[in-house]
Amino acid sequence: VVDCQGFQLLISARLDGETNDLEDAALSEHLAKCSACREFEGEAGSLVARLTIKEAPLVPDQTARILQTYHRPRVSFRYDLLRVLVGTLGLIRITAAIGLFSAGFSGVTGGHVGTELAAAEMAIGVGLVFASVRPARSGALAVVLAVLAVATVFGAVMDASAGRVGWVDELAHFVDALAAISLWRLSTRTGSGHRRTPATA
Amino acid sequence: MDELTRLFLEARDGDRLALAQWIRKSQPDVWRLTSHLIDRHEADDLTQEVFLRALSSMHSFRGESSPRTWLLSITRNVCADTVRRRQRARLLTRSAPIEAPSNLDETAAANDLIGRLEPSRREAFVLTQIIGLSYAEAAAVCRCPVGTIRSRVARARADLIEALRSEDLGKLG
Repeated sequence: VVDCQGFQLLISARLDGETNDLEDAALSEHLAKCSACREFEGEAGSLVARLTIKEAPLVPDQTARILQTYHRPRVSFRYDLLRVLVGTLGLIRITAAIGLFSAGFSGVTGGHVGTELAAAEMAIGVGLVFASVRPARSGALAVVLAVLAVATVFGAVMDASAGRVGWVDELAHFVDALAAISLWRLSTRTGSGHRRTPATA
Repeated sequence: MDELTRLFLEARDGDRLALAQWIRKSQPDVWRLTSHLIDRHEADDLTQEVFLRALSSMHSFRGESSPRTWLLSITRNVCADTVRRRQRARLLTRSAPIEAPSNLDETAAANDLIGRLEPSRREAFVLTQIIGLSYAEAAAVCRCPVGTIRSRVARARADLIEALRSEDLGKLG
């Protein structure tokens, strides 16, 4: 059996939208026959408004003071270098994609397959440039590039061994591996060398 | 994702503008909580201390709660440290022959109805009614069960109603 004190706890919770249907029903039934609890409900309902009128202080803006006092941890040169490297690789891929697009559309080479290849190249290029600007968001792209790097390096080794292509021509695929490693480093560490932690909230 | 969380994540990635906006938009919560848990006149300094602590540990934010709840947990810790510092200072001055004059801030807080609440009730009341957290969020800040917050808020309400009734009677008398 819930006494009036128990129902006052429910009244308080209901005012904050923190009760379930069963509690609501039990409370409504009790309120219909208890004038003391009805009075409590009325007073509790107007309580915050009464107190807020008395409170309502102006909160001073201290942003400048806080930023002035805060000394940001130094970002390492190596970290900045990685960002520049990833951004540059992205720009190279975007340039290559534009070349492939124009070649595909003008019918010089590749045709439809060429423009599809250009689209994939463009996507990776833009992704790399974005990752250089927002390193914390580069984890997923690092995985994509790692798979691409393994596949292209494997293909390059097989084809070069069989003499279908030259070793020097295929060296470019090793750049994918370099980009994947750089991205992984950027996505897992902050500029000051701390391990990044995920933010799922 | 709410705006405060987005700003926090961008700030953590090194966006200076997002950092300034995150501080500007988060500071009212921090200031209000410190002003109620400690006192209004120390709220400016405590707010600064909270943000300096938060900024230096941004990289260790684990995403187990929202950045807002995380920041308010830090605020609560800073307030708890302040209370401990005050208690130590009182112990040190206890043997002094002449007692220091009573703090004006404490007098102001005592006159404040919310300031007169029992500390854990006051904390639950301020977090849910003034800052606007849900019971679950307040429980995360206070590291206690949701049921405890529910009961503390109800008891705080009952205490305040009682205090307001006495205040009204006083005016009539």
